[in-house]
Amino acid sequence: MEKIYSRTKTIQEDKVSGFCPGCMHSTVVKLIGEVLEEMNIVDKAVMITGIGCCGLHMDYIAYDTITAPHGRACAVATGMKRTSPDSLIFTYQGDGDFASIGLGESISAANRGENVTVIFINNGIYGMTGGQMAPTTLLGMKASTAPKGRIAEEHGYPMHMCEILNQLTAPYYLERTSCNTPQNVIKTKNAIKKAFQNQLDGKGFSMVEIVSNCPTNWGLDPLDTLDFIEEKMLPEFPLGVIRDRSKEGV
Amino acid sequence: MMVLAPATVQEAVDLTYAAFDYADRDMNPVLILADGVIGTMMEPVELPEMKSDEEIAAIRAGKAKWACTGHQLDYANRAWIQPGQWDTKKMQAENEKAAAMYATWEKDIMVEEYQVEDAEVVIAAYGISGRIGKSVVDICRAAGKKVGLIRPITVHPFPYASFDHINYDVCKAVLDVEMSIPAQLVQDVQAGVKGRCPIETCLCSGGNIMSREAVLEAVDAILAK
Repeated sequence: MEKIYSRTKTIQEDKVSGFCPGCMHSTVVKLIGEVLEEMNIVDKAVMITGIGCCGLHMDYIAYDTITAPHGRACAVATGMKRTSPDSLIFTYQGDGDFASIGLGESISAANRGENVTVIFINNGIYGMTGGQMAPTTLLGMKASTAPKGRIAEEHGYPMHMCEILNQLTAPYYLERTSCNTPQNVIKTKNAIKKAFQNQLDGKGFSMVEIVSNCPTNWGLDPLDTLDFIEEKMLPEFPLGVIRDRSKEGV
Repeated sequence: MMVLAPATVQEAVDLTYAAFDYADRDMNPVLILADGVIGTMMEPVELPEMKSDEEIAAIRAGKAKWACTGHQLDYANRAWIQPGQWDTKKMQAENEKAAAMYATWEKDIMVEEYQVEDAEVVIAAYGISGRIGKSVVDICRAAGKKVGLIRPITVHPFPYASFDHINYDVCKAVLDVEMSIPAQLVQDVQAGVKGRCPIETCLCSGGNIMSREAVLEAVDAILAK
């Protein structure tokens, strides 16, 4: 029998990640590894994780990694790319890390057009720390710090990072995807590939925002989280290419 | 971490270069504790020689093992920089290593001891207060008053041993001069003096720069006792 598919070698065979069963972090980390192998750039890759569930696979993957202080992955990426321009520098951050504590660093790096890639996992909640409300939590969605659900008058509204960064001149490529269907998994992989290629071509700032799930803190079975994404998350965070400057021929 | 306190713009230059070397040697942060007035002063300085491209390439090559720039896919050889250890036993071991490293910093102490040996008043001050203190020593000595200065340049590691060079048979007091209310340096000065003579303070804060006249008055008050 011919072996036609195997797990990416970027994931250690004998290690266990910290992800919960049914969490899309597992899927995305796998996709990143596959893209790095297909593009033959594993030995250039440096992942900068934020703090949160996004950092639970530090010991699980086989390429270089740095854990940045909470929220500062984009600042670390800026320094790293400028001093090691031949490395493929990408951040791997959740909604708290990227859009709350790290909001200043994230917007500033995008505004400077740093030639790095951001993988932004948006599941509308703080996972590792126990289900607190995030900047991207939906109205009415319950969280440990909003037990009656997010109320606009008290907590404001969910934040749309692709659209916010789209207000800046510098960013080159911004796409929002999800992993809730097989087609979307493929689209996510293609978006990651495009974002990495942009960096290799020196095009500037690219981000892939991936609408993801949290079975543990949403209080849902993994399969039910797919419905929640479809019915609740995607209307708030529509999928698609928000900006692609390659269309302008730059 | 090591804390360096320049008193002149030249010292700020030299200590900044040194800070990078210490940080590199110890893989540990270094704090340059410059007074705001140092940041706004203009003085002529001599900058060190630029490093050549070859020297820089050699420095980078020396860090290739641990620097996160991408490595051949091989778990054992990848670079992994993280803020601590998950395993509590390993984390304690890291802290013990760090403690052992901090203990070696005594060899890096930098201090200016100026006319301390026969001094009846010894000023203890760092940074711009130290510079003003040195000026006070010169004015007093010209008037026949025996005043000296201990100016820590490394505030940490602190030069406690310098306070053993005071002649406590003639010294009337150590004058702690600092731009801090309440006084903070005085705690290290107390640890250095070990009760062998009184300690007086001359303080200001709120953005006021230490007044040389205030220090001269404080010295005279001690000498008059």
